[in-house]
Amino acid sequence: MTKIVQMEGYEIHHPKFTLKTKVDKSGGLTLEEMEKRMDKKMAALTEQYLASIPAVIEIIDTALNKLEKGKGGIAEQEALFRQGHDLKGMGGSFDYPIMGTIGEGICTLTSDDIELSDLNLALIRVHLDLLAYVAAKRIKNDTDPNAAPIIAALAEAKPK
Amino acid sequence: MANYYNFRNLSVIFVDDNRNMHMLMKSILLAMNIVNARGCYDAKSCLAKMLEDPADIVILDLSLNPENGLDLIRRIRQGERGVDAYTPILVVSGQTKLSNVVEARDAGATEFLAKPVSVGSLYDRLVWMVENPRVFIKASEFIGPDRRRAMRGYEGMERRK
Repeated sequence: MTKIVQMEGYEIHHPKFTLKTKVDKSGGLTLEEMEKRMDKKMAALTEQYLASIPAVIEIIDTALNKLEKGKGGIAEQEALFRQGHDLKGMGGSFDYPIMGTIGEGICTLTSDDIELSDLNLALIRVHLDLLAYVAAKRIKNDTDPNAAPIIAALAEAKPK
Repeated sequence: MANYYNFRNLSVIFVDDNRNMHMLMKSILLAMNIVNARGCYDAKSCLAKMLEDPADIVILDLSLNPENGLDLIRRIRQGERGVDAYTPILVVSGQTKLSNVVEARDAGATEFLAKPVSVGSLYDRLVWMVENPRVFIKASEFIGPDRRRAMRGYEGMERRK
């Protein structure tokens, strides 16, 4: 039974069941053990993730083409933002932080506080080209010898 | 036996509209020994699953389709269709501006974790949520976990008075 305490203008509820009632402090795994388990799966998960990138590139390219030809609208802007958002959120998880950075750049360039007519399509195109290159060459992060020009290009590709 | 958090009995529902995220989250949860994990892609199926079999924690993204995650949080907090309004809700999102975190808090989220997510970051948040349960506040314009304590990782953010 939840205990409810009346206050002036509001109530404080003390739920009976909390996460503590379901989580023991014995018999569990260490964080190190959990991470080892995850490491064993990461190679396969990363391959699946990379296999999905061509479809992402196609979606971005299709939306961008429409906008470049003057035939796109809010739906295309939202499609670009959504793909950028997903890249931003997952690149790092699959050990491809540069993809995450590219995604973040696309998000910044297509967020809903930018009017459709003010979209910097050329910069978005640069990000798409960088994504295609990074995916093809499997450039994960700044320790890759091929990463330096990509990182420099991303820094240049920020809106002024 | 050493004392380490045993998450095996936890039941989790996670909500994200991206298949890769499902693949990743399922693997992370399994690595943490959380075997009872159900994934869904939108708000409607999340609420249906919560009714079918209540979850101990809901993990959700803010960018869902067609409804967004904030609406789902509010619907859970209203106890829509009889779901448990007190269910702990962890937002896992790539929308990480302070305004996004504040919006999630004000919608009724319990905690917030920025993407990209890893075993380590999710472990940290779950342990925090286990060790630091929040009471619930019900007021005319808000129902959800007490906002007067900052969310983990956002201790400097504007606090509710």
